[in-house]
Amino acid sequence: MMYGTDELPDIIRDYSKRGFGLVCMYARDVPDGHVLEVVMAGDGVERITARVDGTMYRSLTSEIPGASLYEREIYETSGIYPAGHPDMRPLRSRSTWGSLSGGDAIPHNDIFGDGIFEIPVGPIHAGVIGPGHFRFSVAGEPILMMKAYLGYSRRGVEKLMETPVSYDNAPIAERISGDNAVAHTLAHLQTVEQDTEIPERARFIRTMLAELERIYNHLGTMAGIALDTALAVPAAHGNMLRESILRLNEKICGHRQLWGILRAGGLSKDVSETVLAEIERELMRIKFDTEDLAGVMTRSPSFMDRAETTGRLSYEDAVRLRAVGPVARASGVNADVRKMRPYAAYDKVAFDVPICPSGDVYARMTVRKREIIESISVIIQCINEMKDGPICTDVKTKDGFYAGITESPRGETVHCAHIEGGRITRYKIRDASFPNWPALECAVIGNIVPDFPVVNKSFDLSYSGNDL
Amino acid sequence: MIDLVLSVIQAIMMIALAPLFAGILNKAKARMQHRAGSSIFQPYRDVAKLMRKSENISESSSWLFRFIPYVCFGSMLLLSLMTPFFSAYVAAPYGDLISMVYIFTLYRFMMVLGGLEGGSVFGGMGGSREMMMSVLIEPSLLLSLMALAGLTGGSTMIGDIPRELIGMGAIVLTPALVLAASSFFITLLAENSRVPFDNPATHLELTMVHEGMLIEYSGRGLGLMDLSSMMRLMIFSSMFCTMFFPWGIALTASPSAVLIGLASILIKVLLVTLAIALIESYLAKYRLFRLPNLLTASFALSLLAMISLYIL
Repeated sequence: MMYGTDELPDIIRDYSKRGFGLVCMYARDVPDGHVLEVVMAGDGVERITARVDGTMYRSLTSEIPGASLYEREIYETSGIYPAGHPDMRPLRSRSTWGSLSGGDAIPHNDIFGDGIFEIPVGPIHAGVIGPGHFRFSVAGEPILMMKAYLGYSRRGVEKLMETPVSYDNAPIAERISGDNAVAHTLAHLQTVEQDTEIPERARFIRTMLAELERIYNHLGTMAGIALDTALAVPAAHGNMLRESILRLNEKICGHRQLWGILRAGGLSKDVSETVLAEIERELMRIKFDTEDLAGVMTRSPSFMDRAETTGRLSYEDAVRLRAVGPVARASGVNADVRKMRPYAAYDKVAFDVPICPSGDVYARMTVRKREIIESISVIIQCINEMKDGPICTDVKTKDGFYAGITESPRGETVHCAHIEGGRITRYKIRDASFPNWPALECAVIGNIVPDFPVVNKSFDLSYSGNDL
Repeated sequence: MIDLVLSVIQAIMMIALAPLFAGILNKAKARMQHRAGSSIFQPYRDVAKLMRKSENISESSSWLFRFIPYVCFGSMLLLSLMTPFFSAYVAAPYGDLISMVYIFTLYRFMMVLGGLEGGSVFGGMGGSREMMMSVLIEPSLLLSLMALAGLTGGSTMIGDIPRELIGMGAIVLTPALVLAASSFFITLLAENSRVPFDNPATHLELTMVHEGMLIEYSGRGLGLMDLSSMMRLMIFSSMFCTMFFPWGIALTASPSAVLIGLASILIKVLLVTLAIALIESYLAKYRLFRLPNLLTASFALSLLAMISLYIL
């Protein structure tokens, strides 16, 4: 059903009342112009299509703040202008689409006064991290405003995905954000597998892989938070634990970040009983060591002083900006795709979704630590429930619109595919980092400049996933 | 004559050993983190490598930028001649504690200017943080040294202090000495940009204090600045070991006294180095605005040392 763009706010509000939330919005070319596609997810996934008259429509941002980023993205990629949008800064300043975003000129922050300085940082940083340009407006040390300008690692992944459905696009999906490979590939495979019945063993192993990915990402983040507060010994400890998971990963599929094992219809390789037994053994050790690690950090008064109340993201802001994943859960938002719309074998395992209300660096660390413990329990359940059986089946891909949504270590990951005549004609990816970057801009306000790195690390955002 | 020879030898030793103790500090930290760590001789190689490299200088800087590393290195050279190491003879006997404190201040001031000269924002941020700390370090450093001078009868001559402390025998172990030494140790950490004041190992340009000011330096300039900051740590450690706990130091030029002095100072400096490594492994870096509290504590300790001198 096709709507007009003016009807969109009302329709979206109706859906919101039924518990649906905006997860993605993009423009799509149709033979006689453009349509806006709005994807809402709640108990299920719903798509709202609206025709755009010409190249302009009335912006939704003033009524639905979560749409802001998508509208900027749509303007940069399709040239459709959202009239009345309050903040049309370039989104991916060096996007491959060039002049539409205004080239390389990055605007100054819109804040003036005596003693207010602007600090430009990046895109090249002193450490080995992704490329991003940040503009801080400061009065002394406290930050009054921070704006992130990303897009330096743009590769045009969405376009690369537009292939016949028979092509194996999993290798591309793995490379969207290398440390969230399993979550992205699973989301991609959902759009291809559609309602194909995946063998049970493959579903359990997929769940296990997704949770292993969560554990090593969260351990890396905990180590990073420790390192950024100069707590060197726990940082080394966390990295050692992360390394032991990476080595387990290598035993499972020959790749430390679990690339190459997922494929349409199931898995490319089975996991032997001896490896499963080793995973179980290792995880029990890692469980205790993780508790230890968190204990050492929590018992250090100098660390707690840095972590508590730093980089606070309020519940209201988290909801307004539609933050996802551990970041949202650390601000008290109860949202997890694994519970709301179970995929793989998440309907067959029992686990809790940890929530913390305080929204600071410590809350984000605690949520991650508790998720590690839950993930270990999920993996043990998977290993116990698993029976021998086939690991792969044939896939029949039908035409139409399909959305795949998974919970990556960073949060809700969305893939949308429009398939016509056995070919993907429009593919839209939304990494969990995309809606969380504005949440970071919001959380650092009022903090001091030297605390930004630790706040940033506690958000653990992906540059390549955001830039696509 | 022999005093002059001894003091020149000990100044050369302090310069030569400074990178070694920096290497030991890094190695100890690495071992505490279960890492193998780089060789304890790595700082020598780093400095040698930097000295051979050409400089890349910011376009917005003036002649001052190139000049500053030499001033910094020169001031550390001067201080190494003024500080007792294994013997109480110092080659610049006319320098006293107060001039020492202000040569450190000159060094810091020059480094801040260098940070501003480079024209990058991190130099400016590092400089402003350094100056904020400097304001608080200076009084507590001065006061702790004054307490020491008061303890030994009022002389601020560097060469006299170890001699008089030893001469006083066991009665010197007063609260004043311990309080002044604790205060001095906190300023040692602050002056040398160690955790919890600064993180010398950080890669995060936004949190840098000392490294932020050096961020535009390269090649020989960076080599000299690095060497100077290693020498500064060495000089501070030697001051801590020879002024507050001088026992073992050579008071005469006899070979046996020199040997005992050498052995004792090396062990004492090693202990200080390991203590710093332990602190850096155990503590997180403090929040920037929490640092004044710590420095105020240091000031309070030295003030108490001063008071206890007169009432006890």
